[in-house]
Amino acid sequence: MSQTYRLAEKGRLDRSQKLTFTYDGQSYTGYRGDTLASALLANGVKLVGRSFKYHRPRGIMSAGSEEPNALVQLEEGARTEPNTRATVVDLYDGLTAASQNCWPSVKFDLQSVNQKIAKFFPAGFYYKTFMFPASWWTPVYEKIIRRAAGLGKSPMERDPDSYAQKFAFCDVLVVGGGPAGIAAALAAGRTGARVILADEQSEMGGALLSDDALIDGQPALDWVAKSLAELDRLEDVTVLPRTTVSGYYDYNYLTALERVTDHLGPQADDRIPRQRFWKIRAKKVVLAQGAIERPLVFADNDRPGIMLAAALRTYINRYGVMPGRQVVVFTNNDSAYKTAIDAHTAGASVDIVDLRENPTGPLVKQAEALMIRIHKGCAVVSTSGKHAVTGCEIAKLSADGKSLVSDTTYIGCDILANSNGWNPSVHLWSQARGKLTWDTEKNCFIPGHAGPWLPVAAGSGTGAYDLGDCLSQGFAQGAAAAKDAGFGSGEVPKTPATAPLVEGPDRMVWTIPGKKPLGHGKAKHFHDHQNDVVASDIHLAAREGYLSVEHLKRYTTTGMGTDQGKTSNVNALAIMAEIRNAAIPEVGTTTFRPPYTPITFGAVTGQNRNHLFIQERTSAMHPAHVENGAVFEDVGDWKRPWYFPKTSKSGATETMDEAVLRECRQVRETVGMLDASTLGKIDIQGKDAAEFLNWIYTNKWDNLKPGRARYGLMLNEHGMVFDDGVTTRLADDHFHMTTTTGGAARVLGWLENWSQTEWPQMEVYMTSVTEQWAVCTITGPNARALLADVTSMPLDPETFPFMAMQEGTVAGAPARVYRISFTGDLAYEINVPARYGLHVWRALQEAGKTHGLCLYGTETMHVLRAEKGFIIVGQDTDGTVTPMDLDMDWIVSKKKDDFLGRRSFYRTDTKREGRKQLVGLLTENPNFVLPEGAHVVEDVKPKPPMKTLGHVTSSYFSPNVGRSIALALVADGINRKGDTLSVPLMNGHVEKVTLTDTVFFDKEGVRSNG
Amino acid sequence: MAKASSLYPGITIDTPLSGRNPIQADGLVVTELPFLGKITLRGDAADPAFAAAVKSVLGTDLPTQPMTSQRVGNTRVFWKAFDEWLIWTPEDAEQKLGADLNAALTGLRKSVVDVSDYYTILRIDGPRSRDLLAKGCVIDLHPRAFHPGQATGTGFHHATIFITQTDSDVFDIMVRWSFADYLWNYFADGAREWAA
Amino acid sequence: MFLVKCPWCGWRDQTEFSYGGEAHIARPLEPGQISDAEWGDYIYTRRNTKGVHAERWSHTQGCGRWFNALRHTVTDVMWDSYKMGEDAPTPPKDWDGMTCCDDHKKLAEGAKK
Repeated sequence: MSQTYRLAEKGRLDRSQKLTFTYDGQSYTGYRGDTLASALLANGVKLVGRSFKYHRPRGIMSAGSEEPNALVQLEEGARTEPNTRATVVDLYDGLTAASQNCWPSVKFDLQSVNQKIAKFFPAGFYYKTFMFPASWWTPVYEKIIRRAAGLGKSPMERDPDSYAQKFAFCDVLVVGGGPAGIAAALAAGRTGARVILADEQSEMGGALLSDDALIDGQPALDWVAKSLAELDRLEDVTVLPRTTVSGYYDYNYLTALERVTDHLGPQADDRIPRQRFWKIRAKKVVLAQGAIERPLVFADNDRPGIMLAAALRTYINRYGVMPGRQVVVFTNNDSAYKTAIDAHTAGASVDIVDLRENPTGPLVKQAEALMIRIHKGCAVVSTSGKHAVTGCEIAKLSADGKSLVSDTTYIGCDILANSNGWNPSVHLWSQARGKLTWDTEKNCFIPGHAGPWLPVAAGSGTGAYDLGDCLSQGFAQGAAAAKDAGFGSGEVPKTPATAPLVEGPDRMVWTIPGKKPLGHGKAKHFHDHQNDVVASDIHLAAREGYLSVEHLKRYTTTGMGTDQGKTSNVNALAIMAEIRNAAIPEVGTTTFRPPYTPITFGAVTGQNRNHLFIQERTSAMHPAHVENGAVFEDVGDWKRPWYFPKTSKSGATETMDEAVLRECRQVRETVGMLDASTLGKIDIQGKDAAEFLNWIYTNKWDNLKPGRARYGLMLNEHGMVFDDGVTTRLADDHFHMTTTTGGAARVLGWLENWSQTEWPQMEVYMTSVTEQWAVCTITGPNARALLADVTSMPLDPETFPFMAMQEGTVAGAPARVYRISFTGDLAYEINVPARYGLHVWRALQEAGKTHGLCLYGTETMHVLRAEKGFIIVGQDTDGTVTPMDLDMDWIVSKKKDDFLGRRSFYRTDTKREGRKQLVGLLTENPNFVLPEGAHVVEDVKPKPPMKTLGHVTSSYFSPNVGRSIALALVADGINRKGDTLSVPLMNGHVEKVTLTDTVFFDKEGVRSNG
Repeated sequence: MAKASSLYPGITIDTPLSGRNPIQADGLVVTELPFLGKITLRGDAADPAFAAAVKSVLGTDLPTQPMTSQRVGNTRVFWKAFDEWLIWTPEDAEQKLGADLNAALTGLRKSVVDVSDYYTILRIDGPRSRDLLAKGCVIDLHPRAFHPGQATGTGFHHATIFITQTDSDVFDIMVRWSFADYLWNYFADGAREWAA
Repeated sequence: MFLVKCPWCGWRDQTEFSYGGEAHIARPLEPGQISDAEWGDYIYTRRNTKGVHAERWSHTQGCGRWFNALRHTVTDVMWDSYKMGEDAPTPPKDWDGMTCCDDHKKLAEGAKK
């Protein structure tokens, strides 16, 4: 096929660049500058899809982002994209697209049977039909609905494209690059302000691209070109075509989607991001997004070939396509006459059907002078044609617009352009919490009271359709916005000369009567083309009591498609207003929500995917862990060695259980080494540091000697444990605190909070030093001998006792060595500045060869500490556990009058009996390892519910104890020690457990001496 | 960059970005400034004794205006908060400076902490530096909004960073050791679109 | 994504800050002398203001300092922030949460000219 409907000469196309594309398997050609829609129309393709609910044939209705019908599946494979509007897809060579929502083909669609049984598909059909039983929802109904109502298909492969984000700042953001927007950008840009001008179209100019207007006696597009050249010269002005401002958030934070390479297709340089998601913080925002034409709601107004009047004009003038030979223009206003005149000039046979009895504007006179047939006071009352419109019937309307007062006349046509007036694009205004006002003269919502961020509006988005008004508003608002942002004097550039727009009044008939009363017969009056909602659905909703606009929307699905009702919402509101005999603003508007048009997940994600999705934090020793074959565990966002499986000479690698058993045994037999760098560390200095710790911890700190360490529990004001760790006094006024890995940031925040807001008079400063220090923990009977090989520090227990700290060198590097233990065995935590971490780890590993050193990970650490009954905050506690619940009264000072959380100990609930308390559990079967989280009960019933007494918090097989061990929080557990309770499991097994002390290994605590 | 320690013979020292080649693209070079000394200083700037003692060691007044800094030779002093400063020193100068500060400030309300290895510094140099930073930085780096010598803490996606402008197109970004790999990879990925 | 005014660093992106709940809740000086109900009030009871709300913020990623601020809970507009220990500023009685103190200063300056 060879672009049969292409006009010679006309249009903003580069005809030297012929592009080949494929639609539904058929090859076509178009030109650079086409959209997929204009290229399809040029080739005579009108039927492009099937509708959502009834599977009716649908064509191209608009020439912009408001398109409800022409949704296509763009490209195939990994790059396929569903629900793409053919009207905004720039044509590129090799483009492949297919119609969607049809099977087996768009011309013969089996589900079009839906329209034959349409009377069974009224509004609320899904709610009423797929209701009971509720258990059928997921397995049965959802599948039926999804198959029947799906739009396009999601890609199933990884997206091969890259995406970017950009955080931008500007003084003035201008949304919309039509005459008002360009004028605003010029006025603001000339002041030196930072200006961003964004428009969703591939080129700036807005409505002027489809028009033949003059500015200062020259073609308006010359003024556009001249203005863009000036903006280009202004260093701080950024002009963004193909960029849709999609959301307007608090404090003038707006998001915009720039389609960087979409117009080049998959051949684009893959280093360039396909799309860029802008996050713009603007001082002032000028909204100049223009207006969207409203369709008329008449019988069978959805056949392919029926389109908006201004869209037809765009296809003729901007894309050089006259998509039919016989055109009917059906209108309630003067603006559609321009379409009729341009179609006539382009060689089509044109009939105008005007709802008005006596239209009088100059455009009407002009059409009459061209001898275009005008049917006044008439309406289109039916249309015909199977896969595209072939004709329509018109008739005279009664004065109230509710009935026909003449016989019908048939007019053959292959294009039916229609206009019901215009809706200013108020979406962003409304997103910014601005109010809308109904303009009774122009019959549309216009921006009213502005929201807190005080955007301003200019151009046809305010209901000003005169070009001179658009320009002067743009200049004025641009200059004012720049001044508000601190640039320029507010002086408004002079508006160039334009011809004034003179138009007669509109006639509003919100539902055009058909040949039969609404809802009778087969004819359908669509107001929402995308979601297949018809005028009679609104009547049904009203009859069933869904009168409020929010109910109407949800009940009928009006405006809930991907087009968000850009062409349908106001018609629906007006029809409901008529039914309720109310004014349109009384019915209200639905909430406009971002995004203005659909945006890809890729753009929202930007670079934050794969290895950049979340940071993977590693310690200074990480390269050694990788070399040593560690398997890593995610601890928060840290990658910590979980265990170090060994591979035998035969190539068999240990399982996790095997590796952990070996590591657990070897630590207690010889010596093990753990990377403990991730523990939180806080340097605390000041003369009140000890006093501060007295407030923060439950025990006393002023009596700790320099060089000595102490374990502490931190409570919140509810008296509940929220972190623990060992803190060392380095000097009288200097402490080194450690926290849990996960609690590092939380604890620092907690200390800063109290220091800054409640006790600013205390002389104490906190500084996080978590990653300053790399920490190698060595523990086990041989730990002292190993350390002696790499340090000259005195290690004898008298000079370097348990809970003490020494400074010196280890393996030649400066170190602080803390003799503290989380395993119960002799242990040293060797802290070195992180730059030495890898060296010291490797040196210890080397020296350890003669001491039976084994590397161990977090799993073995967990088993070893559980053998000793040491808690892990967040695992054995859950925010409801006091020190007394942990049987740790010994750490609560009786001498201090107050510390954080203390008062809550005396609350009724905290001191009551029967609270859950931490105990040990021994299973009847010593080899059975309880699942963590399992419930502990007294009376086992055949099935839940059973009264639960608590749950298992930690559970392991301990090779050193020679059996399984567990910790649990059990009601009144401390008093119940020795009792036997039960743990019933999901699989029906019931394990008997005996409550014990929490210390399973080395109950006398002698091993920490080595 | 891993290298031999100049203070402790026979020891190899590392940074979180040891072994990385610079990120290079059209108008852009990203490198690591390894092993700079970094000290967190806290105290009461309104106390004349504190201000004088610090000046006697640093040779300059502490910056007291938010987001400003001072430079003395190769040492840079940044306002971090009203009672907190960050000092960058040349490699291996931090121990002496820390000791001198502690000595001069004896008896005063203060805290001096060596955080040289907590962080590393990435330098972004070139006319594209602002474009690269705009991929994740939530502060305005336009020449009218941010200029050489200014510095502040802020965020870059998941990373908390401290950023200062060093020269017209040069930004130095301090980031925690464990986030350096993430930030470096983010910059490398972000620079692809300008790859030479 | 609103802006928060740090008393030192100025208006900055909300993502740099942490929220700290209602401001001006002092810890009882002698917890041992008060009833469970009074202690419970201190821990749990908070206003749920519609309108002007005094609240705590910390410039976590910036200077790391806590401060107080007045925010209008209907519009999320922050009137102004103030340092710990300072008295809260007083927005106009009829403040509708549509403008911040800096807007008002600008308007006042404009009126003088």
